[in-house]
Formats: sequence, C-alpha cells, structure tokens
Amino acid sequence: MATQQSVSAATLRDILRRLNPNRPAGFDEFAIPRVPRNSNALRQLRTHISADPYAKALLSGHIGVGKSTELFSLKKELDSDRHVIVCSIAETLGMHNLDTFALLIVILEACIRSWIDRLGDMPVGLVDELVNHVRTLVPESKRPPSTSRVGLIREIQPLQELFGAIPKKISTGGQLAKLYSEVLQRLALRYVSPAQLATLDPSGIAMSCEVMLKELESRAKKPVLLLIDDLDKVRNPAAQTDIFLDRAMALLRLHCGIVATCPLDVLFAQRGRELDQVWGTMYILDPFPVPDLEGATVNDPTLSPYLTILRSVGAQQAISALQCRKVAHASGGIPRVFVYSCSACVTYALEAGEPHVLDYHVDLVQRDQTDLWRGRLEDSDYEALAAVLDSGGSNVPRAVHLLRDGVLIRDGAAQDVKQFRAAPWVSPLLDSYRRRKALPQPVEGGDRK
Amino acid sequence: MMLNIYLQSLLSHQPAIGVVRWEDRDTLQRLLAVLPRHLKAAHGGKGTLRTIAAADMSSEQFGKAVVTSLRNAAEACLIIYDIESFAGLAGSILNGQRERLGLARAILLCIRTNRFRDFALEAPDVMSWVGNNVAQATDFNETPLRSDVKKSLRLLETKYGMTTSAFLARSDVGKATGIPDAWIWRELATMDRNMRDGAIS
Repeated sequence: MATQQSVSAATLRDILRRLNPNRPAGFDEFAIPRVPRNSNALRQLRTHISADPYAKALLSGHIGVGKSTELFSLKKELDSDRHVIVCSIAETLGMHNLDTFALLIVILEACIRSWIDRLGDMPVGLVDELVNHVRTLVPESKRPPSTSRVGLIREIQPLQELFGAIPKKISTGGQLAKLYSEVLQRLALRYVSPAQLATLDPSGIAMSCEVMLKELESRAKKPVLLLIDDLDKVRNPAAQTDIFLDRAMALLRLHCGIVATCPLDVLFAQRGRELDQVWGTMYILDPFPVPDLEGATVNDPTLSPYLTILRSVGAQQAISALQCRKVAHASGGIPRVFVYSCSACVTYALEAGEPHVLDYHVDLVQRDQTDLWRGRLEDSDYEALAAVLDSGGSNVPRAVHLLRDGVLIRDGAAQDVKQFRAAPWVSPLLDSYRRRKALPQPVEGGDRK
Repeated sequence: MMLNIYLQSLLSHQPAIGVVRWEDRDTLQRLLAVLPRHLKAAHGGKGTLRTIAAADMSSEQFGKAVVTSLRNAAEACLIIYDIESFAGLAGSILNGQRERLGLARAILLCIRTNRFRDFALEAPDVMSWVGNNVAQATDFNETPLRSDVKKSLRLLETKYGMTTSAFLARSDVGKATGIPDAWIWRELATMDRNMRDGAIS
C-alpha cells in the first residue's frame, strides 16, 4: 500500500508540475497542449492577418481566457510565411510601467534581438541611423545650437539618466541591443521618474521602430508580424487610453502586421467606441462554454475541452469526470482559472496523502476562491454588478472595473441573450448581498445556483 | 518612360541630381546592369562612371566615399545605391555636401521606395535640386542585352583590377568581402552565364 501511495504521490507531483496556469498552453513541451477552440473571432482574425500582411488587429478577452495561447499558436502557424517577432511586456518591463514610449522601446529591442538571432549582425549604417535617432529624443536638440546651453543641459538630463553612459562608439547590433536592454532595465526599475520621461519626445524611438521594421522586412525577404502579448493586463486607464487611442498611431504607422492583446474593459470604458474608429475591428475571445452542474455523460460537448486539458497531462487518473464538471462549472469558462483550480485540487490531495482528488478538495478550492473576494467588494460594486445582470448588459460602463477584475464575465457565445454573468466565485457573495438588501431576485440571471 | 530620355533630361540640368525609386531588388539589379551604357550614351561617350554601393558602409565611411568620389568629378557621373539602411543619415550627409554634389556632371541616387521619405526629409536642399527628376525603376523596365552585362562586368574588372573569373574564385573562398560591389558583380556574372547558356533570352 505504501508503495502504491508513493507511486501515486509521484504521479500527482508530475501532474502538478504540468498543470501550470501561468504558462500559455502549447508554449513548450512542459506546458499544457493547446486545445483547439471553435471561435469565430479566431477564424476571422486568422483570415484578416493571412490576407493582409500589414493588418493591425486587437485581440481582447478576459485575463486567462487564452489570448497568449492563441498568439503563440498564430506564431507557429505563420512562422514560415512571416518574420514573426513576439514582444512579451510582462517579462521585460512590467505592466505597471507601460506607456507608449516604453512600449516602443520594448518593440525596438525585440526587433534588434530578432535580427541578430535570425539574420546575423545588423548593417553598420542601420546601427548608425538608430543611434542618431536617440539624439532626437530631446526636443531641445532639434533646435538650432544657438539655444542657451543651460537649457540644453537641463533637457538632456532625463536622457542621460535613461540611457546611462552611452558607449563612445556603437557599431554593432549587439551593442545596440545591450544599450536598449539597459534602458528597459532602467524603465522597469523606475530609475527615471515619469515626469522626466514626459519631457522626452517619443517620435525618435517611433522613427527607429519604423526604420528597423522596414529594413527587417527587406533583409528577411518576408513581411514582419509583430505579436504583442500582455497588453491586456494594462490596468491603468490613463495608460490604456494613451496606448490604444491617443497615441495608437505609434503602432498603426509601423511597417508590419500587428496582433496585440487588449484589455476587455477598454471596450466598455467611456471612450470604448473610439477603438473601432482607430483600430477597425476588434476580436473578442470568448470563454469556453460552461457545462451544467448536473450531467451524467462524459460526451457532453461543453465538458469536452476541459476533459481534453486533463487528459493531455494525464490528470484523468487523479480527477474524475464529475469532479472535472464541477471545477469547470466553477471556473466560469476561463481556462486559466480551471487549470489553477485543478492544480489546487491536486495540491490538496497531495498534502492529504490521498491517491486521488476527493470531492471535499474541490469544495475547498471553490470556497478559497470565494474567500479571496470576500470583503474586497463594496456595496457599490454589488450594486453595479446587479445592475448589469438585471438589465441584461445595459449598464456595463458602471461596472467596467469589475470586468477588468474578472468579477463580471462577458460571454459572447452564451446561448441566451444575457451575455454577462457574475463569476461563479462571486455569485455566493452577490446572493448574500441581494438577501441583505432584500433586492428582488431576478427570474433568470447570472450563475446563481 | 525610356531610360535614355530620363537621363538626357537629367543631364540638361546643372546640378544634375536624379532619384530612382525601386521596390524590388531584381528591378534595381536590371537597372544597374543597363545604366552604365545609357548614361555614357546620354553623356556623348565622355567622362567616367563612379559608383558608391553603401550596403556595408557606416555613415562615416559613406561620407568619406562621397568626398573621394567627387574629387575631380567635373565629367564624372556618380551612381549611389544601397543607402536604405541609413537613409536618414545619408540624406543629412548628402545635404551637407550639396555644394560638392554640384561638382559632378550627374548624380543618380537609387533608393527603395519605403525609405525615400526618410531620405527626403533629411535632405531638403538636395531634394530641391532633384526637382522633377524622380522616377520609378519599373518605368525603365527593359531587358538588358548581353552586351550591357558584359560592359558592366568590364567596368568592374577595370575598377578592381581583376578578371571576373578571378573575382568569382576569390568570392567562392570568402575573400571578396572588401569589394563593395561584390553582390552586383556576382549577379552580373550569373546573368552573363545564364544569357550564354540560354536561360535568359
């Protein structure tokens, strides 16, 4: 029995290692394989990007719904026809440090690295040109030299702090990549204050990106496709407006195709309608269909993607189909929440020395998720949530912050007319609020059990 | 537009600076193969032809090459190409050397269309001299004759003091890196071989 238990524990540990919710599915051999999904948005996005090499598209959806997974899948699909460059903001800069200037530096650094890795060193002339653009970051340096030197030195100070001690001679792409990596490090650690950064003119970096992408296309002999991941995690409304609306031309002018992720709440914010005018069509990735709690058969098509995820990591030995249904229902159709919940269930089983996840463990995980939000939502939040659910989605701008936090879920593929529902882990809290306030119970609404 | 008409129009100006924009490298190669013959014909068989291929140059080297090429250049025609990687800086350099550019009989600048704007922004004075002398390489889309290719090869042989076969032998063992015109020389040699074998009619 002891041997049996130790084998099971090793198996559970192996399952736990592969159930990593933070790694996009299909990213590498250690990640969960990608589950193909039946999504009109993805079909349209693929058609758009394949047909137009310079198309710019935004892919939106809840955090954890699978946008990064689909971006990596797109990269694999188009790698032979396009020179694909992936920019991951969270790894290089941190989402809280992002604005258009920093985003352009991330893109430029990724392009330089991609050139060096795949095409060899950069032409000396191109390096010269890119270095020359740094000079134009200070608006003062564009003026005639007759301007007073005191003013010039004051203006140049943020540039010196951002770029540190610039080497006297930069003649290779490697040196340039190192310089921009150091700039990113300084931006990530906020070595230069936002007020100082605001004095820099981003058009020099924007020009560098444009030049770099034009030359990259010419050298690679195929169009460039830029995949910008993690932009959906930008929470600061000012940064969202800056990147997606006010200075969107910094991205739209680039000589390449772009697919960038976008926060769902931007679409429903005050200026959300402007997005369509600026970017054209937005593609929204919907959550997986949510299976009903009651259901006996494993052939239920709504349960199928969740079972596929579990089978792909061999977790069917540890989690039964009924438990899978329960966890899938509680995840609200968000794959990352499902994977996280499954890994939490397996952790509980491992800690308890059980060879298999018990129903009790699933209940514990659901309770943990609800407890995470208990006390963090105010009455005004519940009120906004109830207003959206009861109106069938008419009052969403009131609850846009709840959409950002994943408390309110938009599901465009929902069968009924109600495209918004409360996250399952918040439903008990909302019910409790309704009882407390004696609000009239909606006839059909949300995910209330 | 016929190339000879464009060149005659260009040479009727002083200073004579023209820009040819291209999008496809093959088109540029075809143009470069026939350009020497047409330029010489338009110039009445006089003068010399000088080229600056700036693909592997830094901006500093390019500046020096411009100065060197424009020495005693009253009867010389200068063709500049492959400046795309530093089009903006090349624009600044040429704009700064504009008086010197006027010393040459004619200057023809070939630049990829999507970098032309960057060049033009940095070279406003040069562009005012260029005026209407801007053309598309596809406008001169004519198949080069084998005699054009042979003439171009002879120009390169004279310039670098070695035969094409000697150049190819050096190129095959990787010792042709110091020759700025190496790629066009190889292309011309390939074209010559294909024309001889009948692959290109």
